Amino acid sequence: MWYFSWVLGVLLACAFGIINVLWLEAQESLDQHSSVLDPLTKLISRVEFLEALEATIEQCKTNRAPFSLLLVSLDAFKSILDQEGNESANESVLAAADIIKRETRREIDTVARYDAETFAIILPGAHAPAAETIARRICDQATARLGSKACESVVSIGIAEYPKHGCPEGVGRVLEEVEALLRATDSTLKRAQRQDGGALVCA
Amino acid sequence: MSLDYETLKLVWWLFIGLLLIGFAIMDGFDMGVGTLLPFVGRTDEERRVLLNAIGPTWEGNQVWFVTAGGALFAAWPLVYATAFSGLYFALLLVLFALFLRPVGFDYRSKLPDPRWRSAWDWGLFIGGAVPAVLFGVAFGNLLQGVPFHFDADLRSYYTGSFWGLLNPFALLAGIVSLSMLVMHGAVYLQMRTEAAIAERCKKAIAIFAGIFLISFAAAGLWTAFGIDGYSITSIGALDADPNPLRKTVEQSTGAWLHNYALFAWLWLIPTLVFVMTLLVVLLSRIGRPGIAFIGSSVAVACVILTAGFSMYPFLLPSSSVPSNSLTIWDSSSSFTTLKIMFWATLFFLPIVIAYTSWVYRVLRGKITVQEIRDNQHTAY
Amino acid sequence: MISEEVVDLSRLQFAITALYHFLFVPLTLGLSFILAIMESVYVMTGKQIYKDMTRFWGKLFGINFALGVTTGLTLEFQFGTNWAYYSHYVGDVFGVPLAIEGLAAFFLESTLIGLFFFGWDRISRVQHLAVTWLLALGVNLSALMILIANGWMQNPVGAEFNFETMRMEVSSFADVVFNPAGQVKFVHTVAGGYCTGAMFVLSISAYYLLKRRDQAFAVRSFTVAAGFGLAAALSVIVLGDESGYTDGKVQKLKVAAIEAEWETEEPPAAFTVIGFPDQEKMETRYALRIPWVLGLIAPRSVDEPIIGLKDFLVQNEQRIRNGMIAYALLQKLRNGEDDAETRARFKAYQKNLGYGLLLKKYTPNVIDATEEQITMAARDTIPNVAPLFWTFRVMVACGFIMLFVFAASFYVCSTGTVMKHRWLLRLALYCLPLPWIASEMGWIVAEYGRQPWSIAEILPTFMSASSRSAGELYLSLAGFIGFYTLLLVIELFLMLKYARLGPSSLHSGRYYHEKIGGAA
Repeated sequence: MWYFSWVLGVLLACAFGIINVLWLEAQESLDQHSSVLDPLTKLISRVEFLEALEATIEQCKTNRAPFSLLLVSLDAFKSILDQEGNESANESVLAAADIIKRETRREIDTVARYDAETFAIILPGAHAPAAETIARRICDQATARLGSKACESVVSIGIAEYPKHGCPEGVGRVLEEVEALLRATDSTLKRAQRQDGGALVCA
Repeated sequence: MSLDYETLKLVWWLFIGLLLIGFAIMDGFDMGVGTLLPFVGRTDEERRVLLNAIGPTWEGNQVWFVTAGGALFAAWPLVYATAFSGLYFALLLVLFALFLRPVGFDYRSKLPDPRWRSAWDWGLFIGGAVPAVLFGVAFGNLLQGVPFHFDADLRSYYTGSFWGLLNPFALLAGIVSLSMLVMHGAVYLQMRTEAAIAERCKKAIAIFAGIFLISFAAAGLWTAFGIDGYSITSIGALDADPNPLRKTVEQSTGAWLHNYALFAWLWLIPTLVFVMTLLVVLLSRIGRPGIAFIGSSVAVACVILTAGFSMYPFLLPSSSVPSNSLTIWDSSSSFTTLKIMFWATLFFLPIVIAYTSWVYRVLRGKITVQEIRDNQHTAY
Repeated sequence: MISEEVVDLSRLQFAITALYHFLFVPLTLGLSFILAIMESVYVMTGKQIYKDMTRFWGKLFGINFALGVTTGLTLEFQFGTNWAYYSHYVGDVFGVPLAIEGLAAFFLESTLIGLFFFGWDRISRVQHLAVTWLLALGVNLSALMILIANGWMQNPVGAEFNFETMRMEVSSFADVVFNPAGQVKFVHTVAGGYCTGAMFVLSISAYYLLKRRDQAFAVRSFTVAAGFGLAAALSVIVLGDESGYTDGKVQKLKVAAIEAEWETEEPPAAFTVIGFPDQEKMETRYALRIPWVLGLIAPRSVDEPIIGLKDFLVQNEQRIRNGMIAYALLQKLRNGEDDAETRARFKAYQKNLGYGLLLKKYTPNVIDATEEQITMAARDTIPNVAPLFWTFRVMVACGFIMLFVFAASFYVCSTGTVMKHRWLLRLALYCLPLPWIASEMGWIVAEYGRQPWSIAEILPTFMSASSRSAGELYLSLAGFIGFYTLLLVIELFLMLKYARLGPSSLHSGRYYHEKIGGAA
C-alpha cells in the first residue's frame, strides 16, 4: 500500500521540520542563558558587543548600508563614586542605561556596557547626522535627569560612522575595521570629554 | 424510486443542472462584480473595496465551474468531447479571460504603480464580462443546435466556424446572461459595501434588471416563434448502452415549448424570473440587499432551469445532422460510473456547502474604505 | 482521418500547457506543508516570529498559487478541446477522478485559501492552524486524484471495452483507485513537490543569511526547510526507485527504454551509466556499463531478466496482428452481427485491439494493413530512447544533489553552525532551480515515455486528438505560449521582488529593510 507510505512519509517529514526547529529554539535559549549580561544594567558586556560589532560590519558590508557607532561616557561617574559612594554611582549608571534604552530602537540597535562608565551603541542604517540627533536627545535627557547632581558635564558622546571611519586603507579585513572604528570613536569621545558640559563630537 | 440506469441518467441531468446553477449563482456574482469594477469603483481605494468584497471567496466560487467541467467529463463524456472541441475558440476565449482573474486578484495590489493597478482592473473586467457574455452565447447556440456529426467510430466532426456562433439569437442570449450576472453582482456588492458604492450599486441594479427582463422576454418569444426546436421521433430503450446514432430527430419551430405544453406548472419557472427580478429592484431600493440577494439567486437559477426544461431531454442538438444530437439518454457514462459519481456527489457536495457557508459566515460584514486603509499591505 | 501535423501540434500544446502548470504545482504541494509546519510551531510556542514566517512564505505561496490555478484551468478543459476522441473513448473512467478532484479537493483548497490569507483576525489560532493543514491536505488530495487519473493512463486497470458504446468503461473503480502505477506516481510526485517547497525556502533563506539580514527569521526558515526537505528527498529517491518497477508491461518497456536496454541480457543485467543511444541501429554507443547493478535495482533479483527493446519489438508485432483480428471482429459486432461466437472471439482478442488501432495511422481500415505497415507500427511502440535516457539521468542527478544539500543543511542546523558554513549557503542558493528541472524532466520521462499511447496499450495518441485544423492549432498554441509566458514573467518579477524584500514586506516594522529605512 503506497498510500499508507505517503501518510507515513508526510508525518515523518513534518515531524522532522518541527523537531528540527524546536531543537534550534532550545539551543538558542540555552545560549541566551549562558551569555554573560552585565548584572547591573542587564545590557550585554564588552565581549559580546565586539562580536555584535563584527557581525554588523559584515552585514552592512554585504548590503552596502551604513551604520553609526556611539560611545557614551558618564563623566560624573568618578566624582559621584568618590563623593557619594558605590550605591549612588550605580544608580546613575542605571539611570543612564534607562535613558539610552528608551532613546534607541528595540530589537534593532545594539546597546552594551562597554566598561564601568561607558556605554556603546550600534545604530544600523544610520548616517552620522541621524546618529547625532539621537545622541543629542540622550545628552539632553541625561542632563535633565542627572544634571542637578554636582557637576555640569553629565555625559560625553563620541560618534563615528561606518564605512567612512571603518576602512583604514580602502577595504580592510573585518577585525582591522573593528579596531579602526573603535579607535575613531574613542578619539572623538576624548575630544568631547575635553570640552565642557554634556558635549558630543562627531568624527 | 430505484436507482436503475434510466433513473440515474435523469438524476445526472439534475445534478449537472445543479452544478451549473451553483456556478451561475456563486461565480456569477464574482463575474458581475468584475464587470462593474472599473465603473462602480471610481478611486483606487473604492476599487479595492469592491475587490475585497469578493476577494477572499471568489476562488472557491470558481471551482463550481471547474467541477461542472469535471462532472460533464465524467457523466457525459460525449457532450464534453463534442461541445468543447466544437466550440474550440469560444472555450479558449473563456479560459483566456478567466486566466486574468486569479492573477488579477492576487497581483493587482502588490505594486503601488497606478498604471499597473489600472491594467489589472481592466483585466478583471475582461475576466468578468467576457465569460458572462460567452456563457450566454453558448446557451443561445445550444438552443439553436450546432453543426456536428459523428463517424462510425463515434469521432465527432464540427463543421461550423467560430463566427457562426455569434449569431443574433446567441448574442441576445449573451445580453441576457451578462445583464443577469451584473445585476446579481451589484446586489451582492450592495450587501457588502456602504455609502457611495452601495448607492451606485442600487442604480446599476435598476438599469441591469431592466435590460435583463427585456432581453429575457425577447429571447423567450424568439425561442417560441423564431427558432427551430428539436424533438425525438424514435429512440431505443432508455436504459440501453448509450449510442447517439440510433434515434431519429425532427426539427420544428416551437418544439422547445413542448415540455411546457405537457406540464403547465413549468410556466411557473419563467414567471418566477420576472417576479424575483422585480422584487430584487424593490428590495434594493428599500435597502434590504440581503433578501434581494436570495431573490436574484432564485432568478438566476430559474433562468437556467427555463432553458434546461425547454431543451429536455436534449443536451447538444446537432443542426447539421439532427439525428446525431446528444440527449440525456444516449450520451451518458456507463451505469457503474453514473452510480459512483452519484454517491460521490451526494457525499461531497453537502460537505462543500457546509464549509463554504462557514467561510462566508466568518468573513461576513461590510467592507469599508477605512478597513482597506488599515490593511493596505495585506488586503487585495 | 486527422493529419499527423494536427496530432503533433495538439501534443505540443498539451505538453507546453502541462509543463507550465507543473512549474507551479510542485511548489504549491511542498510549501503548503511547510506553512502548516511553521504555523504549528507558532501555535506550540506562541512566538510571533513563526507567525511572521507563515505570513511571509504564505505571500510567496499566494503568488505561486495564482498561476497554478490559472494554468490548471486549461487542463480541466483541454481534454475536451484538443483530445475529443480520447475524452469520448476513456471519459467514462478518466473523467471520474477529475470530477472527484473538483468536488473533494479543489473546492477545499480554494475555499480555504481565502481564509488562510484573510482569516488571521477573524478565527482563533487553532482554527486558523486547522485551516492551514486542511489547505495542505486539499492541495495534496488534488494531486492524488489527478495522479490516479494519470496512473490509469500508464496502466489501465479496472476497465473494459464496450463495443456497443465504442469506449472503455469502468469495471472496478477500486482497481482504478488502488492502481499500483497511480499510487507510486502519486507518492513520487508529491514527494518531489515537497523537495521543491523545501528547496525554495532553503535557498531563499540562504540568500538572507548570506546577506546577513533578518537572521533569526532566516535561520528558522532554513531549519524547517532542512528537516522537511531531508525526509522528502529521501522518500523521493526511495519511492522513485519503486515507481518504474510496478505492474504493467508498458511500464517495463519504459524502463527498458530509459535504461537503453536494447537486448535481453543474462540476468542480472548491467546498468548503463552513460552512453549515446542510437534509435536507428538499436544500440548504445560509448556505453559505460556497471555489471549486475540494473538487475539488482530493477527487478530486484538475480535471475529475472529485463526484457530488451528488441524482444518487445517482436512481441508487439504479434500483438498488432492479433489487434487486426480484434478490429475485424469489432467491425462485425458494430454492424449488427453480434452472435455469441463473434462475441466470444472478440473477447479473446480484445486486449490487442489497441495494438490494432496503431495501424490507423497508416491505413484507416486497419484490416488491410501491409507487412511494411505492420513493421512500421511495431517500431512506433518503442519510445524514442535518447531523450528518455538523458532526461531520466538529469532528474536522478538533480535528486541526489538535492539530497546532499538537505542532508548537509540538516547537519549544520542540528549542530547550530549554519552561519559558519557559507559555502553551504551559497550552494543552497545556487540549487534553487534543481527541483524544477527535476520535476519537468520527470514529467517528460513519464509522459513522453508513454508514447505512442495516450492510454497504454488501449488508445494510440494518434487517434486521441480532436478533429481540428492545423491552422487553428497554430493560433491557439501561439496564444497559450504568449499568454503563459507573459504571466510567467510577471510572476517571476513579483516573486523576485518579494523574495528580495524578505519579511520586511509584511510591514510589521520588525525586519531589516524597515529598520534601515526607519533610521535613514
